[in-house]
Amino acid sequence: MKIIIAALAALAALQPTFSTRVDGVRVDVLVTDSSRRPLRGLAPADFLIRDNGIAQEVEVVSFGEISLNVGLAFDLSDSVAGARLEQLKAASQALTAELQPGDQSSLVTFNEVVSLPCPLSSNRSCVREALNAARPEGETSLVDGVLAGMIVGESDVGRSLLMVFSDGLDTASFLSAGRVLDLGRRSDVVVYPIASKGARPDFIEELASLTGGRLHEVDQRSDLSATFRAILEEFRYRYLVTYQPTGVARDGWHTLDVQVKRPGARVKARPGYQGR
Amino acid sequence: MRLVAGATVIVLTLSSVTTADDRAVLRLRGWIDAVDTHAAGQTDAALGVVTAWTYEDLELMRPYVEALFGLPAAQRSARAVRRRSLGSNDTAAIAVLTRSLLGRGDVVVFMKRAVILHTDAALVGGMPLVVTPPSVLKSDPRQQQRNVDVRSHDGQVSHFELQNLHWEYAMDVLEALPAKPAPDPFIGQWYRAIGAHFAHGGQFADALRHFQRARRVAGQDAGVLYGEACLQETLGAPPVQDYVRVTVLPNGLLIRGIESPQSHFRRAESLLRQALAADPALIEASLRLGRVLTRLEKYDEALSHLRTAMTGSDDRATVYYAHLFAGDANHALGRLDEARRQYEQAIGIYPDSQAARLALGSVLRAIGDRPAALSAIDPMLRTPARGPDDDPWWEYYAGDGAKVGRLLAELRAPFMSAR
Repeated sequence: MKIIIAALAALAALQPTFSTRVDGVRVDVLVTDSSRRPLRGLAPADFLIRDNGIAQEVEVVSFGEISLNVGLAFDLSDSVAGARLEQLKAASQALTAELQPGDQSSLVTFNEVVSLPCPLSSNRSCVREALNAARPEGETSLVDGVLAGMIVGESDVGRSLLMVFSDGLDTASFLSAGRVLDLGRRSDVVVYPIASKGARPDFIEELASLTGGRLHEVDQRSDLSATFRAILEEFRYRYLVTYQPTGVARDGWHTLDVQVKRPGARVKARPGYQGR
Repeated sequence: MRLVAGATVIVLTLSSVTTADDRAVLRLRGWIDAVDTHAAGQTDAALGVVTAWTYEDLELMRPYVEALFGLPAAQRSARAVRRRSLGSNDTAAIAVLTRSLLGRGDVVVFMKRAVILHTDAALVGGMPLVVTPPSVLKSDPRQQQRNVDVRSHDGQVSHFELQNLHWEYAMDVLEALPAKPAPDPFIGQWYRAIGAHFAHGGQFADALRHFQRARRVAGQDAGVLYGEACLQETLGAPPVQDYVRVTVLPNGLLIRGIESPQSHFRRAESLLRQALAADPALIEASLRLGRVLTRLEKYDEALSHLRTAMTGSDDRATVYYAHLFAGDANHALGRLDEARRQYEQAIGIYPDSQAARLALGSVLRAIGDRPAALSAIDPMLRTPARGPDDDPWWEYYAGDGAKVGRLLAELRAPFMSAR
């Protein structure tokens, strides 16, 4: 979570008053009904946000209107070679086909080496071409790759999603899991990890929880394309809620409690943010 | 890079019959000839003698070699079991051969040559044997012990294999070398070189057995203490810990020898302190101690050792590591500006370093400077480091592994021709 210093250009186009405000906090919130379908049509008055226990006045709520920054951080180590890579290519193609005008995508790949074949852009073919050229090999720097994906994926424009795919363990990172969790507390990027059942490092689920995302566990029989599309769908139909924090210190950890004043509403949002 | 390959040792007890016969004594004579005629590092006929032995042959012959050098069996239950397989005729025949060796006047050199022969056999020979994962059998002291190791690649189980018994032969003979008035330097030299070989290949199962036996005969050797400390640090690191946590082996097999990270780091700390006591000039030990103390959250002392490494070494990689780890310790202490400075110094030494650039990006992001964080990692993302020449981090867990070629060459040098 970050404090908004500058205006959000894309949001400003929709909410002109927002561009004049500074030091706001924005929270990405998934609201579903009892059937886990996105609950639509909510207004600021429907949200109750407590920042460190202090109720805040919600100012802006947007739903499905803001363009997305879809970051991909893919494990291309030895363990992904073969059928898994083909599934990953197909799933990525299915995902990029669902992107809308204004959405951007990026691709960070990692084995022991982290690289950025596709910087954040509206180029739809880059991910496909990069994966077609990929030759999985080597060890896995998962923590390093995720941290790079989060830094690359952050943007003042739009809402940022990072989908992390890895089918195994971290075997080569320099950074500790604590570093990427620390970034998760500060960043607006919502992380959705897709990991193999059973064989995943502990931090990946915690990172999803910290950022308001959700872990998806898959196996060889899973339909990866359907999983990717479902994540994008879920992320697109989340609310972006903003408020000016009052009655709380700016620095330090802020515990967030987000509620929706509708019967049966289920809310998923980050549990807090690191203020600075 | 092979950070995590064979991760663990699983000790199983399998049924195996070991019976002595006359052919074994003949084979022992052939072994003595092979020791005498092998040229270190060469795949010569002498090497072929021992690499042609099957696993069962190696098990069968081991008590003969142990008895040849009079290795004590009383306090070593496995050895005592092996020794009981020898008949009285065997014992008498072996005694004759022992007297003959002693009469030559070069028995110490002979023993070292035997160590080299089995070292070369282990390095170039047909062992180890890939096996199907065995079922756990109940322990029976009458049965021969076999160790089965699991190998992995990129965090996934690759295959199972029997322990390479040539290493055991080499270590058996090392135990017979004179220990007084001081252990023969060859012992420490061998343990350090082969420890480096195991570290280079991520052969943790072999390395655990290796250093366990090293303690008996080279427990005060700074280089050996340092080698075991590197192993302990690696065993406590996330790649090994995560692997052990999630890996389920077939047939009820369990991974052994891996404890909590803190246990391994504390052991590494102790070993590094002993290594520095034995050789205060061992700068690599100061560096590693700084890193291990950081992992144990003893940051101030860690920084002191890291400063020693920065100022006391002219090795580029050592100084790079020292700045990198000092960045981590400062970051943990909340001294973000100093952490940043340390990471920048590390980048100054290895500009394409992935580890240092990501660490710098992380600390800049924590400071709140998002554009600077992106700028810090951008060069490494666009022109990724490709190997240890760009970023030594990828060799860190190999410990002495980078030196294995030189260490082996030094070990073999006196034995490059036949007796």
